[in-house]
Amino acid sequence: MAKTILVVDDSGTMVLSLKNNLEIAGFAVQTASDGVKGLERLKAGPKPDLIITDINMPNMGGIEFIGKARATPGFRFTPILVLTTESQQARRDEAKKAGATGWMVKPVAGADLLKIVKQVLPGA
Amino acid sequence: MRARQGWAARLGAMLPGRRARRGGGAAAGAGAGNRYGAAIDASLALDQEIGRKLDEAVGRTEASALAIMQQVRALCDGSAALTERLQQANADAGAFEDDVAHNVAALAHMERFLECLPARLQHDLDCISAIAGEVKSLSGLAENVEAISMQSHLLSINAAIEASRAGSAGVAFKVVADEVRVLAANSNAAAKRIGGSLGRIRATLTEGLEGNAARSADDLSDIAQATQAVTRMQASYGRCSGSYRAGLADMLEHGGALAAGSSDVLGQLQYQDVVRQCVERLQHAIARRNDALGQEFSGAAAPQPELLARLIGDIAADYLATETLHGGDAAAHDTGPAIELF
Repeated sequence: MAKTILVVDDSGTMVLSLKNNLEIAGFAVQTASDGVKGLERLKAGPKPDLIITDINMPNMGGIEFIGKARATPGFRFTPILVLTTESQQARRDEAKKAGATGWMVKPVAGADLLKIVKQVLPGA
Repeated sequence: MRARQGWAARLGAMLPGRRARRGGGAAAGAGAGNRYGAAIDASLALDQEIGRKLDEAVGRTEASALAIMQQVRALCDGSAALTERLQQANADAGAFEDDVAHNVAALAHMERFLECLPARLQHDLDCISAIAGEVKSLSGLAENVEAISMQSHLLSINAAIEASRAGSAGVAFKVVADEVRVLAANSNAAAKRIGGSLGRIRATLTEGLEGNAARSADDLSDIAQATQAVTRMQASYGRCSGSYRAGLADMLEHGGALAAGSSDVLGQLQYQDVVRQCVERLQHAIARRNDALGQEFSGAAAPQPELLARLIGDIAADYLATETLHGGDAAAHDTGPAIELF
């Protein structure tokens, strides 16, 4: 059964880029355009095996989304990767404190994306 | 999709004084602003036009990036379907190759049998020839029996003549002579029948041997041709299979390269989002500057050129600081690696 990945980003190009790359690699992909919709996805199911989220989004940003996702039952240990244009250490520390598993700076090459996804999703 | 605030709308919200003055045509305000009103209006109009064009450019690059991604995905899906069919064809070819190998093994077994067949046939022919020789010998014996019966017949005639000369004393002997003559006649008839049967058996054996030899030669020739045809077919299949496998390997390699290339293209298209965010930060900085200029030249307060200069300097510093935090600026000291697991 294919592993499921939830992509949370307000950019159509980012969502489509990630969705295509991940689907071609054999993953099932869910999408949400901001943190609020991302949380709704988590509660509605099916449960994703990995979450990839942007930081700067309307309604609810990535840091807040990560914190609330971690507080959602069943998602305490689900890997969450941040994918953003930001690269400063202070923001990384914020994300790490909120519960992020890793940090990627946009743009990320397809091969690099799949490599890190497989790293945090053993058996994928 | 990011809900972007329009350029003109942002400026309108930041500069209510200028909008109101322009709309009401009240150009005779107090202070220094009056002298710069037309220049600021022109500048704002230019900014609005530039902002509109930037928004259009972002929208166009986004639409283009989305279209490219859909096309790349279609190419990739087509390639994946082709690869799947090729792999199925490869599996089918493997099964066919197994069948061919099985059939070739069976033919090789048959070929070994056929190689031994001439010797076996010769052995059978030798056996039949030996039987024919024995039959010929028996024919000689039948002739001997026939000769004996002939002599017995002559002997019985002579005995009957001598019995007649002996008169009444030879009556009994005549009876014996008659019986011997009958026996000789019967023996002769039996010998003739045996000789006839043996003759027909010999003829049948001879005819069979000659026909069998001719048929065997034809059969062996056909078998040899069939074996050669199978050998040629096997070699031809081997060449065809090798060529097919090489082509298949090439196509699978190209399919893999296409998938990898497509993945890279999809990754590169993320630059559209990076550029869009860069444009948005630029627009935000310009809007802040216009707001400061608008406040200064609105005529609502006394001119404060030093404060305006410091304000615009702060806006520029903020903009540059924000830029260093995005896009992995190598000059920034507080940035980490592009990809990092915590």
